[in-house]
Amino acid sequence: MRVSTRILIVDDSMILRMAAKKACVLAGVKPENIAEAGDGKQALACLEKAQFDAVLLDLNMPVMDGEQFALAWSLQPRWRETRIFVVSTDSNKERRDRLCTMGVAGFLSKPFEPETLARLIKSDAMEKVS
Amino acid sequence: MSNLDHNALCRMVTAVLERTMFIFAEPAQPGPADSKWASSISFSGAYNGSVTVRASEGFVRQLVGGFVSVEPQQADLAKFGQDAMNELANLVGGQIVAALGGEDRPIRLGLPDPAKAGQTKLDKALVCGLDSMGDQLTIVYSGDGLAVAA
Repeated sequence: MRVSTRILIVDDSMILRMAAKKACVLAGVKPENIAEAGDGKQALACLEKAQFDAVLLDLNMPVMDGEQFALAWSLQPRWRETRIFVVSTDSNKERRDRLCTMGVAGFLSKPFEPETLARLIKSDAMEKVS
Repeated sequence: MSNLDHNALCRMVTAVLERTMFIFAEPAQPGPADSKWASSISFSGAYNGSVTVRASEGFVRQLVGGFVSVEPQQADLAKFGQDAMNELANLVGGQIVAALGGEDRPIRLGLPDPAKAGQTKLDKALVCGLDSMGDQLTIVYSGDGLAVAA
């Protein structure tokens, strides 16, 4: 993983975003390279403004949920360099299949140990964006 | 469908607490029902139900501390207390949906709601009390999949 890896954390829970941010820092990501969004709509606005290597995406959110966000992301070729990792309590296979079809790179089930998220961030999947 | 009973619910919640927040809780009598720290989440689809989590202030401090890696005494309850309860409801709700077969069945988990927690009905519900260092957490589940009908 590059030290300059840029990550966007998308979750409606402020405390979960904070926990995920700590895991990212634990994995070696610079705090200034981590951005946060509280729903899919805010996340799309973030993608419009800056480039990210990876998005950690919750699914169940108000305003625009994670699946709607993933669909919008999949329709924009300019965002395809950004890899999407779903971090959610939702384990439904049909929904995961739909997300895979959209191009989502991976899944992490909640609840997760901070070290597991840190490992995902440092994983080969993430390194492909380097 | 897997049947949920008291022990299964307690195991589910203790696993969530240990895994994410490093809180080690043990089964206990349900805590007082008047704590303001509560959150509820519903699910619908192939199966329907709702779960409410209610905690003493000390337990909320442990939750916040576990989430953001600070000592419970330093936890900012005004900023993170309700958010931590909502996320706990979300995590427990997700585990219950998975136990009911949510991987293969269309069951949609809603969003946590502090307001609905006040409307919890204990009849025909599964109630699980947990204690961690003298602080209480109560989980109330009502819906499909109860092993023992009330």
